[in-house]
Amino acid sequence: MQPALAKPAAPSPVVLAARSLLGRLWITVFAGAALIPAFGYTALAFAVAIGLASFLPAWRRSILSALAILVCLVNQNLKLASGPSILSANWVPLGALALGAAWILTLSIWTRLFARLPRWLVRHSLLLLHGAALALILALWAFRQLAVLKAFAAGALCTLVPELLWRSAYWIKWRGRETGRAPIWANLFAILPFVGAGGVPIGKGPAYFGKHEVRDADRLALAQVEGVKLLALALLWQAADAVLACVLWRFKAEWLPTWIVPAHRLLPTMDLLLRLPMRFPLWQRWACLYGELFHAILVLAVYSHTIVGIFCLLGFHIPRNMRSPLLATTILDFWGRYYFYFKELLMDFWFFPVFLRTARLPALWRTMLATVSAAFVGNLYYHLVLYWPALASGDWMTFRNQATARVIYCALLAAGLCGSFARSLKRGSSVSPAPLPRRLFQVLVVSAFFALIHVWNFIDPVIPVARRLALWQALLPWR
Amino acid sequence: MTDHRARLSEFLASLAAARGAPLESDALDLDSLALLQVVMYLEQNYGIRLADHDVEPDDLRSVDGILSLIEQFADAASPR
Repeated sequence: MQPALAKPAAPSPVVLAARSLLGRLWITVFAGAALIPAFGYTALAFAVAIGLASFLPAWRRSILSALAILVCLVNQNLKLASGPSILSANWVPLGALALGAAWILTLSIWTRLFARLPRWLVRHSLLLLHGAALALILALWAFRQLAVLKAFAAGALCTLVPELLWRSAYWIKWRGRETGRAPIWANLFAILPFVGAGGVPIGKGPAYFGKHEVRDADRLALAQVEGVKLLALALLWQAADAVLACVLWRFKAEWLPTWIVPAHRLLPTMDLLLRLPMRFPLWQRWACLYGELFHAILVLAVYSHTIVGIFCLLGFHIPRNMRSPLLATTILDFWGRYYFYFKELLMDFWFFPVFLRTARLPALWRTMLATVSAAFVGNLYYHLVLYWPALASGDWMTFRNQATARVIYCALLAAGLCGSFARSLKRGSSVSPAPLPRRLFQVLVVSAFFALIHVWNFIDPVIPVARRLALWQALLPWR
Repeated sequence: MTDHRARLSEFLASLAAARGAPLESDALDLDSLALLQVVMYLEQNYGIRLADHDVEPDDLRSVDGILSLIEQFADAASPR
């Protein structure tokens, strides 16, 4: 199997249909309808943008930037399915908008000066960005007693900073390497969190979008077919998640028929299990962990397929965020399939730089160092930024509970990934596909690992570390 | 340049064989491990020591991207 150049295949009938006038209209209408559960009436704006971008590809970026601004202005409490909300309900909309605009303007001006700035300053722009964000949060914490500042901090700033931090980092990386002029308007969509990416920039930044922008009608049709597939999958997984939650935990979605609701709850919720682990038999404790992992995967699948689907429909054929993680046979493989853009974020800003800087070390040591820096240090830093609201408002207890659980989660993940990397490096290229029973066993072990560490990933700031530890102890068969 | 391409193709084919999955030439679907192997391939075969401001992981995800790095950074682009 040669990775040599291959001629592009002739367009399939589906692509030909998607290229036709009727096809484009159908795609626009489908997208509008499929996005209603996630965006409500704003879905109409998305549908209009998708339609316009299909017929006026030269205006794609302008259409997308206009859409991004519109959605950010209109949707002040945007929430995608049951995924993370991009704006909390208690934020100060005008303050945050003004601050966001000032942030983006400053970033744009700063990066436009790159050609004139000393090279070392350009190279350290990422450090400056994180330093400025840290200084901001420390200032908020220091002056947290001021009522006005507290409201602003809890509402606007702390929601905005995590949203913009990594998008800005990708912007800086892009401008650091781009020599030509790059109008801010044409790339504004890459920095505005209009699709609700919860801190992780899905589609990375302008450079990545530029690389995946379709250049002709055939590729646009191909991207749009992928977009339609992803939106359909998002709807399907949303329905599957609703059925799962109903059957396992008796959480009934409005649209589900009553006959599907079981007489008794089949499993405890993670919340309940963490509080009273010994109240349930061993099989239920384990089954609950798997149920929660499936639920987390389905929620993330809905969320990320929707976002990637939107970008595909608009002409940016970016890779999927999630690719069947439950089929992974190694921890490393699961990590790459579960949340691609988060893995990429850690790869781009932690793993890869550390790996390059440790060229004198043996391959295994370099890999371990890079893995720990990404999966532990980078992952922890990313989440501490998300926990800023608690710190800024002086809620030390919440911050401590969240941060301690996260330290343990990141340490476990890093240990698992290091082990997986070491095994893969040892195997080298002599790997041969395992027989089916062995593969099934590997899948089970990998999912058990992630189900177990999910106990530390479960978001509930009230739950102290001791309870999570007690649940782990309760999973032992001799307890 | 043709020689670099042929050698790279050979190396990518061995990577693809190890993964048990094909690699497309215009967008190499490389996981973290494969990316590291590409970096080590450049270091060991061309003596290229990349700095993090010289290269992004995405530069290594296409044949042309890797070839362009070889051309840019290798000592007179001579294979070892």
